[in-house]
Amino acid sequence: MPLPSEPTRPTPVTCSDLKAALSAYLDDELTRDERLHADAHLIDCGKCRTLVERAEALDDTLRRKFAEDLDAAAQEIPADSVDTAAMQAQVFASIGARERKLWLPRLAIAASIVAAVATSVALWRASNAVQGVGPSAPGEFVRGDDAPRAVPPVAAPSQGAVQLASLDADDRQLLYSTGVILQNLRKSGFDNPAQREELSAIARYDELVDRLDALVARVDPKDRPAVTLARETIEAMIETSADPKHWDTVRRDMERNELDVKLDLLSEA
Amino acid sequence: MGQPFSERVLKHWIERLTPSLIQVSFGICHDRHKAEEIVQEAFIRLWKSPPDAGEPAIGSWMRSTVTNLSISAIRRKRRTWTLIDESGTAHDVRAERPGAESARREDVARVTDALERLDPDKRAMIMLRVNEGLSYEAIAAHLGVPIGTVMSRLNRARLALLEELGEIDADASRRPSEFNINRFRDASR
Repeated sequence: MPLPSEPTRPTPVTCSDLKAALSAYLDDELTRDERLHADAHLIDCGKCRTLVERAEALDDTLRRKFAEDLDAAAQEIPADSVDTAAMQAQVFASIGARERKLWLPRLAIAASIVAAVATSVALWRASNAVQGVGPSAPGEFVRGDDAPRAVPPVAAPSQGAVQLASLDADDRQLLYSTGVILQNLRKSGFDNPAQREELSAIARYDELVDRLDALVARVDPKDRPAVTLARETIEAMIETSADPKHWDTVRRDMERNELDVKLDLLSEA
Repeated sequence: MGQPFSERVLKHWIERLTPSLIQVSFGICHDRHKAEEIVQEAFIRLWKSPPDAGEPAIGSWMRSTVTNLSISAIRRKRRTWTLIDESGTAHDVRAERPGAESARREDVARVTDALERLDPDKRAMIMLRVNEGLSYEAIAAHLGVPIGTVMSRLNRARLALLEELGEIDADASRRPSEFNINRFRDASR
């Protein structure tokens, strides 16, 4: 609001107006002009001055009361007597119970996807075993129905050299789950936003990005690029970008590296 | 709703904030078990609907949420100003305040009683502003209401408290039900 061009004493407002603006006046939430009008009224009105003084005194007493309450609470419950681990357990148990209700139907779908993929992978392997083909050498992958292809940036799992002693069952399960998700993504997830969202939700729930991040340091250096790319692909999937170019890039990287197959092999190495 | 965060981040905040939040809640509801339940519920809300402003806002968001939940928890439940001593006898804790501090203590006790007689919504407004020191904008964001609503609610809350304390005429405190800023603006034209 523009200030009056000539410095004039603001028109007094009524006691009722001042009362209606009491809080804003105390908390300094009035504009400069509004405050000028309020102050002008207060100069003339002893009753309103008393009201403002009482309200200010009340705020002081309230602050004292709240501070005393907090002091008393701190004495009653010293910080070191609080079991934060128990709080963590209770919070996560409660979150888990609530989310399980939401996740049970999704987990059922996910379980069926996993079962179907596991069966097809087993059949594919059996078929390859009969034909005598399979991962033949680092950097080269063969599928039953494909010619050998070069697999540049990410090396194939170096089974002889991989030091998997530090990988436990959870790590292998993590690699396997990631492979299954990526396999589903490659097969139909790119063209099916609903399934992509479903897979992203599973990946988020299982904190795959963080866990793969932690795993990278533990795998053999030769296999790190594969785990790193898997982590990046999962992260890209979770971004749920609507840009088709984004998905083209992710799809190309995945397919060029046959990432899902590599992870599956790594999990069983 | 803000960006969701990982369990690791939530664990960090639970570890960091739990003791002070339990104290804040206990200061309002005076029940440790209830305070722990309230803090737990607040963390679950944080997980489900993190503040828009992200991690920097989590501390004040949690305090405000715990304050609100604690006040709601004692809705319709009046705390009596009595404690049970070791012999099992109930006694009024205000009656035994030392004389030297009596005036100040009396003020605090009167305000405490008046505050407890106040409608919980009004009480929450006063605590968020005076105790938590939140700006009108922050209160509005926290409660999901416009700033004008915060102004009028807070004003009504303060006037109601002054009325409870007998510092203001009851009718006078009710009359200006809305903060009409236009009256000030009109007056300057």
